[in-house]
Amino acid sequence: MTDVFNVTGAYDKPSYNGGDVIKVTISGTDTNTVVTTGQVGPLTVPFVATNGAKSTLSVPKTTATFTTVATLPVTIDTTLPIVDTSPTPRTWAVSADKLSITAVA
Amino acid sequence: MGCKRGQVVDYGCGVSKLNHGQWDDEEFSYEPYSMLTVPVIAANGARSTLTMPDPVISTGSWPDASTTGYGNTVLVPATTNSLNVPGATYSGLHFTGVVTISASNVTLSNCLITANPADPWSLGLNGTLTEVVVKNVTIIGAGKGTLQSSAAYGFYVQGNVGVTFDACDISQVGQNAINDGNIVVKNCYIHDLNSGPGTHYECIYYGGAGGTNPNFSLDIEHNTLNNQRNNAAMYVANDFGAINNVTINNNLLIDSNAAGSFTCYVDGALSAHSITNVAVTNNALLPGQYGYFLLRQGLAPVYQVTKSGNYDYITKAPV
Repeated sequence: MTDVFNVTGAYDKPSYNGGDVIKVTISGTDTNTVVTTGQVGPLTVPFVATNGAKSTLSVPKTTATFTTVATLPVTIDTTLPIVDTSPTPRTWAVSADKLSITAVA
Repeated sequence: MGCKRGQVVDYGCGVSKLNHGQWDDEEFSYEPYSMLTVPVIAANGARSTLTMPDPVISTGSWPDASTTGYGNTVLVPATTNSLNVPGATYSGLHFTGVVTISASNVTLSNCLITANPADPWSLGLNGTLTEVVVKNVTIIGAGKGTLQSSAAYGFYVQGNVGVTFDACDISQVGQNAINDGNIVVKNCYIHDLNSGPGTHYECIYYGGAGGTNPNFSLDIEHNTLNNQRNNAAMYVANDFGAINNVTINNNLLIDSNAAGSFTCYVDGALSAHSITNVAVTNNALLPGQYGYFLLRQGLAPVYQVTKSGNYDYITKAPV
């Protein structure tokens, strides 16, 4: 199984004055790919000739690969800290829908 | 390697002093651009992180990080560093390595240029060009990590170039250098200089290489030029030719009073070339250890420099 995140964040203003509320909204998805294998067969295929004669064809078993791709929604992981390495780190609050964070400039 | 305590350090222009320890190797180090890292989780429990630049916070009326550079523009990697299509606009790009503008009417805006250690400069402007605009561009040099033995440049106006640098944020370089052309530098923030061990630090250097061009002009308007290393914030001298048509007006010029020499030079002592039509007006300054200005005729046969309206940034006293 693989997960490829394509997530971006955007500030709600190009710049902020001291005391402004800074809001960052995230958007994007995770593309989840699951690859599984399974057995196909063995098969027995009956066939008939134009004169009515009948027989069967036996196909041995084989292994097949099945790939499932799903696009999954992404939210902020509230179990891990937001890391702010600015000279004046801020306290960031996560919104209820877990799609944005806010702090005071 | 950087300077060590007790080492005699050449501060440029024949001025040397004993270094009192402001430049230890440790001080040459610098923090990487600070970032905001947000953990994210998918519906299936898979985790990743989203990393973004710090928000831009405004701090005042002089150009600073909040008013310059690419700001919060979302950047994509550039596919070429050779900007050679006349009239083209290049915007929203992250360049790594030396970027060269070699066509007229090119606009480079809202971009980031990150230097490699071997780069002698980050943004070169080459040839005879007109109407080039470099606006809201952030240049981050290699700083202490440069492989240059002296100054790596931020921008380098190599040819005879008509160019306006507007609202650019330039750091981790030794100088920004100008040869020739019609150059305007306005609303820019040049700061946190770091470069090779032999660097004479100057936020902007012009040494008279355009002296044979009767149409040369250099206009430095409303910038913050903050040099906390040796030498100067603004340096004009007749190293290579005559100086003519230079205006330094309404800038915040800051030099280190511990390591810097003079904040602003217009020095005629380097060769027998004249210095004419130079105006140094209405600037706010903080002095280097030797003072605010070195305005010196020296060897210049003619020395015409107008100085007025300048003042100390903190006390507001005329200087």
